[in-house]
Amino acid sequence: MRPALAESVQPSPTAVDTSPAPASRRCTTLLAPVTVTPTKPLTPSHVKFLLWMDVLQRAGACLGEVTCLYNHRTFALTRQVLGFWEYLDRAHPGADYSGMGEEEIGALYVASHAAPCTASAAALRPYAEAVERDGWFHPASRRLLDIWQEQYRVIGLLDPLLGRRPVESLGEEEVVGHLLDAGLCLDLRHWGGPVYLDLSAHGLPLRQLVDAGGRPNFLMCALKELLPLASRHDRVVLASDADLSPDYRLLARTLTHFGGRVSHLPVTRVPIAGVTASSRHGGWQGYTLGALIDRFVPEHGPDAFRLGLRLYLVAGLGKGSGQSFSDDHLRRQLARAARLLAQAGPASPAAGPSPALCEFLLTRTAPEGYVDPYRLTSSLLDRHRSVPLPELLGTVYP
Amino acid sequence: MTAAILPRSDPDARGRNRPPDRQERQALLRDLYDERVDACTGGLPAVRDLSVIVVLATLDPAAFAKGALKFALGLRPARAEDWMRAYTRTAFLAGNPANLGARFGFDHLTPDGHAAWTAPADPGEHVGLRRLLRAFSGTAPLELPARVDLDVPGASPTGAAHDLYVVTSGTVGTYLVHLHHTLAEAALRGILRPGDRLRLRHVRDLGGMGGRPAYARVLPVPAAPGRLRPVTWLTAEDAVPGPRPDFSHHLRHARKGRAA
Repeated sequence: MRPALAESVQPSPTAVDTSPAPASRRCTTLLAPVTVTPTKPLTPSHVKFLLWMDVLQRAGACLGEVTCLYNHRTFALTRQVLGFWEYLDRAHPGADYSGMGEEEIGALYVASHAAPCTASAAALRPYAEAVERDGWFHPASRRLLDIWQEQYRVIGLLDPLLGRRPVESLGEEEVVGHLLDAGLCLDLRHWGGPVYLDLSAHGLPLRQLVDAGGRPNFLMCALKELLPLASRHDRVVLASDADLSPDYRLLARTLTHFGGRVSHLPVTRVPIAGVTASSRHGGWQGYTLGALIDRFVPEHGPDAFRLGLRLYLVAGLGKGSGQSFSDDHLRRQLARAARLLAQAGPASPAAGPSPALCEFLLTRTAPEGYVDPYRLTSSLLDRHRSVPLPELLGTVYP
Repeated sequence: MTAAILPRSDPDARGRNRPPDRQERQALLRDLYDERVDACTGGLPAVRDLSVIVVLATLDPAAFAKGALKFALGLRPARAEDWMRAYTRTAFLAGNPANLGARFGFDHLTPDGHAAWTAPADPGEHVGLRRLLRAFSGTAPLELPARVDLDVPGASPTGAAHDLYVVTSGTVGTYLVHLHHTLAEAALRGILRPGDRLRLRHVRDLGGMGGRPAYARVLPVPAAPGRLRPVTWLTAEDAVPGPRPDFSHHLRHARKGRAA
């Protein structure tokens, strides 16, 4: 007999819970963004996504409990990541990644996608097994994660260890079992066929979770972690870039069957020189987070850089402006950030968010119930409204 | 799960394992092949492109076989005749009938709710189902019980019994196709009748089958042009105790064809 979902996995001790101790029962939110896979440098699209999540998480923690589920292991099992690692060991055996920069590793990622032959399923299997068994990561990805950790500190992400903390998850059989019980799954593995997610009752086509060769795709990887956690939260906010929206809508539909209020927040990518392309195609040289830090932090200082980057990527570019990344626009927001910080004065430590701040945040919520990062950050640019600026900057904008 | 066995090792095969002469064998298979064409079309061209969709959440051979027989025997005669003229064309899709019933009308549903049949219709009418679902398919060698017994639904036991041998050397996709054509056509031709006992026997190969079957599904051998091989083999009934209901009205044209 399968245990009920809420009992089947104990709360993860490593999940980052940012909320102060609750005086009474507070709304619990699970924030579950798609992870940026450590195969390339962070580009403006990635930074925008991470900052949206950071604002959502910090602001949400003022009003309730927010747990962020972000685990690099989840999506390391996808072909995109395993194929890159297999390519590195095949095309560059013995390479030393410990001293490589993010752009060098990113160039190898672009080369791996340009390579004529792709790895067989058998060649990827040892990598997948090492990830699942030992949490193993290829040295190139470990190097990128080290670089990112330092960059997260510079841009003031709430958790610089983002994605590196282990998260408990269900096994594949348990996921299939729970989905079968809910009438949401078709399991053809006995016949050598796939496992499908079945949302046909909602008019949605079958979507593969495990292929005929037994390989799980990223939806199955996501469900392993999401199913147990979703059932223990009042609200689930799934976030992805807009390209993944169809699959994330499927995840949202699935999770609604297991309790809680589930919504999906799509965040659009940032074009570079008019082109919105995946990182595997390159074109990000000079626009990586490392390059932006080198270009703007010495001139504007770390505090203005943190706030200005948020003003630009969260409020300025918004949900889908389609505008290309612009150094000039970023520079304007960095200057504005410096003025706002001067206006607010030094942050005073507080025991918790004031009723006034909570009241203000409640006016900036999306219909789905979470604080809308765009509406909140835009209010910093609004001169005509009364914004609790010092406390807001001290609490939500590091 | 018991492994499928060869018919020649089956004690119930009773003398059917005399290795037939190859030419004689091919002549019999050709005759069975032609007989099917005649029975399906009644000598007329297949004028209508009709198809049935079977939606399967899981495959239980006994429930599936009973469902196929009940579906075929429950068709209105005119509809059954049209479907025969389309060679009982059927597609098998993975899907949960419980998730689809409200939007797609099914003609027949198994008692466990795991399999459902649409009425024969122009393939254009199935676009919605085909858009939502995927083929019920797999690549693994079949693991099926060697023998599955069932009664043809619709009447109390007649006392007659048939052995239906089905090759399991292919995949689940080909198994479904072979078994479903055989059950549907044997039922519509009045070979399998309500209340008959059916012993479904899963075998790797039908090469050793002797005698003439009441029905066999015969296909060309892809690697050997001009040669045929059986993939199912339905034996004639064991016993006929007294008068039996006549269901062959399903195939008015086929009877006419045979009389001619």
